[in-house]
Amino acid sequence: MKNCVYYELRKTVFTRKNIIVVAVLALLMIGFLIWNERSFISEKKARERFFDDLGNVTGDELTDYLSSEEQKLYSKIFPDDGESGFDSSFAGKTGRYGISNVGEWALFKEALKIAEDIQTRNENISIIIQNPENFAVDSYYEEDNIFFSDTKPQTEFVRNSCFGWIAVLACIIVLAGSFSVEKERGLHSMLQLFPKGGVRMSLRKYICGIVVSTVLVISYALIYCIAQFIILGLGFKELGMPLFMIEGYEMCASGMTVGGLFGYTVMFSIAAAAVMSSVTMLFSKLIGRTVFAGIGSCIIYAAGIAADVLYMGVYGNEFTDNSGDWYLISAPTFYKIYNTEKGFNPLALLNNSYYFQQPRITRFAGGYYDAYIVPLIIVILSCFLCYIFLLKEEKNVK
Amino acid sequence: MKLELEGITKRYGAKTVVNKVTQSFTHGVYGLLGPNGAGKTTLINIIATVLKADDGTIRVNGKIAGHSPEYREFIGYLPQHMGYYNNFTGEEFLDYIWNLKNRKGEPSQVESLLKRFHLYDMRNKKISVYSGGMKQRLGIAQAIIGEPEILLLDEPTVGLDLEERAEFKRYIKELGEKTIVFLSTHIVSDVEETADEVMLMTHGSITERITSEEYNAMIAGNETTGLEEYYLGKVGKELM
Repeated sequence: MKNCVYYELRKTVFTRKNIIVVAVLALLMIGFLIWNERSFISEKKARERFFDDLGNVTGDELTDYLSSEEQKLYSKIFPDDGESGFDSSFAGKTGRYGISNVGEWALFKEALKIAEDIQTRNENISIIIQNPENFAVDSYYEEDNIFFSDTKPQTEFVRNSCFGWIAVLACIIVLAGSFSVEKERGLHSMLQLFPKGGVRMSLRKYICGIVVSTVLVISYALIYCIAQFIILGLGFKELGMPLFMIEGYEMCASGMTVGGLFGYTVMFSIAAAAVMSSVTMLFSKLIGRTVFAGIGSCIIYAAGIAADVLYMGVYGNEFTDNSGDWYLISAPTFYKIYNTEKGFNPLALLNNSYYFQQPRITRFAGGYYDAYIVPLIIVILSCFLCYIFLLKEEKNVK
Repeated sequence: MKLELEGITKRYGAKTVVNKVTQSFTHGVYGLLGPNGAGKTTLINIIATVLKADDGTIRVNGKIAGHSPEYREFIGYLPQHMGYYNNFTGEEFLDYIWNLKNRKGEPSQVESLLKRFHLYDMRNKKISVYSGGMKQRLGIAQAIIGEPEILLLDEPTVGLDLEERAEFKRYIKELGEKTIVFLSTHIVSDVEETADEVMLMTHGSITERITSEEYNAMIAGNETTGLEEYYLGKVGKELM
């Protein structure tokens, strides 16, 4: 004899439609990754040779070498002979590493930026450490210098991290019918009568929903990881690279790694999925129609995303571009953004940038806490409120 | 078991759908006849506790039943429009209902019910491939599962063929020997052949309640040709 939880999952989760949807979304994610990383795939071997060649050069010598090589190629591609500004025949010709000269110039430029970033980071840290009276010196400033390597695979790994969004969408689609399926089939009233129906059935559904959303996030994260490991040639060792080496992530705390960010993203994707699953199940119960419950949840989801996009547009530039120095984030600006936007939008947790655009601790009621505590509280409260509504006994009054 | 309804009333806005119904029942089959909109389904749903009455009380063996889980354990219910999970097999569906009903870890009745309702050979097929009659038999089987003491069947014979209907009537008669069975239907012959008592419901009230012996006596005395004519006469219509 199978138990009620098994049947709860069979009824709404393990249906043919849901299995197809989950599989199609996974394939779409892989397709998206291949499309976005096609240039890296085509230049993979050339990049390996290029960075292998630079392996023995370090420090200022490396910066000087890269700068001079970049300048040499630039002057050949854009000769200032007074006739043409761009030498297309030279630019298109295959260079030392088996790709076009213009491609090699881009590689030198990219490598130069990596080298300069490391240099600037080390200089800034030494300033902070030498002036402890002006800065809140934390232990992570005193970490070792960073080695030079190709950051492109890690950059692609971080930038294309879409599994959280896809998992939440899958949760909405899978769980939209969790409560409405009975109403649509005329079984709802009958099932309320049984000893293990009613509130106990709602509780089972809710628990199943949360478990399913967790499993979906972890599954999509695994698929994402495996696909990226194959496409980008990454390994677990490469995930230990500091996050500030990733273009656009220069402001993050130095102790954060690419793998660490991935871990946080998985963790908070589960939180966001739990919130959206709760909202979806609540809609499913209140509206009683699968389609409308799904649409309603998607609207809430889109609103959460829109809020985050707004944040990036309105505050993001002020926050990043106008701040020339790493680690010198204005605390009032941070807290303004944090408290007004992120704190009330758990879906914003799905945005990777959230994890580096903030200090590691936050102040609340005179104490210092981990910066993630506020949105986490929001997540737990949202789930709890949905849970209360879901389990509210029906009055059976029409 | 004794089931008593005291002044059961249900209103939708200004309209009174069930009007002060006061009746008592012991084991037996009770046929509930009435025109569309008479309040039959609403009354069945109130007894099943799917709906809450605006006024009135349900008592079981003298105790107020309300919507208590103990009272609900007595009930087997087949709604008028019942749907199924089409990705379930017939066996899974009954097993699921058995799981929901069974609190005491009693041995499963699923196999015996599948055999009883001639669904055993199809037990591993998805419900989506079942015919209308098979689905209806499955619905009746789920109502009976757990041996309820009050069985509420709303239009149970819809979709059944002649043979299935005959089998169903035999089974209902058998159940009526120890269970209170309510049979709400438009099909007068189903009631005529199974019911120990017939109740006529019009405008939310039970206007007539006669035993099978009483209407058999009426037929013998040429007062009526059968239940159908009797029923039509009571609701103000004639046989064509």
